[in-house]
Amino acid sequence: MARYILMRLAGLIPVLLILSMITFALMHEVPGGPWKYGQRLFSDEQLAALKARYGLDKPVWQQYLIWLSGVVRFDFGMSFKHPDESVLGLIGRTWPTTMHLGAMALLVAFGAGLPLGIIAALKQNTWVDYGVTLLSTLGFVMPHFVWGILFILVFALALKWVPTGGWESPRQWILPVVAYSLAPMATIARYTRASVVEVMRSDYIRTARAKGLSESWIVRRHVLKNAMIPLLTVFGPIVPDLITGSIFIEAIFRVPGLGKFWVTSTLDRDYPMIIGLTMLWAILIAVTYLVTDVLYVVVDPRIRLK
Amino acid sequence: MQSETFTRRTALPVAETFEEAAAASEAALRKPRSLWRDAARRFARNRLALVGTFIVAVLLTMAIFADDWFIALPLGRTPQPLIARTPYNKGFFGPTGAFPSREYWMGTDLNGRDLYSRIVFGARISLSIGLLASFLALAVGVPLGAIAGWWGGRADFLVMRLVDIMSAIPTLLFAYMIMARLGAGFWNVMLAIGLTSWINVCRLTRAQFLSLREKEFIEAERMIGASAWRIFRLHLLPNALAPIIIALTFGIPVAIFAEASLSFLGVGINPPMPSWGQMLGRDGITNMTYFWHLAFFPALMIALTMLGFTLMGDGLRDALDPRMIDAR
Repeated sequence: MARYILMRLAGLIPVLLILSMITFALMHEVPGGPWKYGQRLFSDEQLAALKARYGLDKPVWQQYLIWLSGVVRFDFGMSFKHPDESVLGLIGRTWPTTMHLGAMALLVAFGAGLPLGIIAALKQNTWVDYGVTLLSTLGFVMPHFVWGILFILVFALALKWVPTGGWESPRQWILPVVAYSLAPMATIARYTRASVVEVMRSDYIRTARAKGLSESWIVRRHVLKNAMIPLLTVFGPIVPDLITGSIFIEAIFRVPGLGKFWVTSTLDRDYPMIIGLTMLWAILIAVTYLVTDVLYVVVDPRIRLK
Repeated sequence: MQSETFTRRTALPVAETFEEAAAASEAALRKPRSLWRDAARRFARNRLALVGTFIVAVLLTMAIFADDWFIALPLGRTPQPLIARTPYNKGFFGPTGAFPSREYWMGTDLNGRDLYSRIVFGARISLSIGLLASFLALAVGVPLGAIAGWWGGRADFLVMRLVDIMSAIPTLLFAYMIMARLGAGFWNVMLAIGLTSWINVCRLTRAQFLSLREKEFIEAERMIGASAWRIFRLHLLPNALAPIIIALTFGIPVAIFAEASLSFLGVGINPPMPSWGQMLGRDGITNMTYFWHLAFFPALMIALTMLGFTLMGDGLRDALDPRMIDAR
């Protein structure tokens, strides 16, 4: 097992290298630069001095090697947009807020999605099932920025129950968390329902029934355990997705988090930040898939890692 | 490989109860029907799928007949609005920021343009980008997946590493960078979305071809000396077609969502060309405390479009999956 995990982590290195090269090339292909975009704040000499200071006057492949040699020492460079902060410092400062929001959204999504999906499957083709299906289809099809806007229109502006935005008090957390959790909740409910329905139709459940086991025992011991296994692949990617934030939720509800940088870093041509975020995402995704694969072995003794 | 549990669902129907077996043998005694006709019958019985199809049909009608371009274009004159009431860029049609009324059905925007007309033209943008980007994703993903799944070995290794790299890319950041490189505009949005969304189709096609390759009827074809092209044309494509069609149907709302997101962020469709995401992101959220209709109607249209395509896709999946026979 340890050997397998180490092999997978080692296999990540070439992927990260190629990915960083692609990102590096693409971001330098984008016209404009960090200091002449939009406003003309600097004279030509100042601009040249700035470029020289950050190494932007060198050819792109040299810049890449310089960046790479920094990364080896765990130094991802300084942000261009926030010149007194390093990329790691900036991510470290803004990520906790986003993670807080994401963790609460995850909790709501799983806490509501799993039971809804299971109940819908057990009460298949009743009004409970149709209600859950309708709810999850709605959550599935509405982009979270649409939910966010509708929530503000209804709960903040019309009913005045909660503030329109901000991130200081728990009252301000409610709308963004709910708006952010609806889509993953719907996904979880949908796939849970499908998986439980499928397991309920399998031979060993019929055998369990034939043995005269009680329905609640069958559901708890046989159905749920087996239904969860294929769901791991669906649930895994939800986690990195939610904890890295969304620019839409953060912009609509004025949450000071990491999410906005996924777009503003490109807007500002903040090269170190762009590539830092790309690496962060790639590592998160790879770790998620690795954890999912390891969890497979843990929950299902029939599966062996190669 | 992940997600195969959900994609490899085209196994032969297995009768699990006596009733099912009886129904299956009864079905076999009736006159033979093709998979496709069976699927059409199941689809027509699915009410939600019909609702979805209806929504999609209405949207398509809006998109095609917003103005009479199909007459105007060959004649070389400017198109006249049909379903829409004014051209999408006609300013000062009414007072600026008018609320919905009998005169202005969805109100007017801050430039005094008729919101209803812009919503109708928005359908044309959303649907054409959704369709074109999904077909682009298909055109990239299906051949790559087919090559990887059929040949295996080195081709499979290369394609799968490419998929690994692509799936490690933060999609929004990349689409945004491509847009910043190419510049906003209809064709560039289509390209950016298509190039970032072919991975699922590729994985799916690969999984299909991998499992088909081992099937007995393919082996039999090989044994009688059939050419690769014949096997591909007669067996692989028809068998892999149903899951690919389902993937396409689910890909369209995803692409529409991506277009709305990019336009929302200001790098998709530029005004005066209307796009629901752009209407929402520019005037919608900044003015929604007062001019609520500027946010409400585009949001509603995005949601309806996504709903229509998703319901239709659900129905197609249930209809084309033989294991779903008698499930409901």
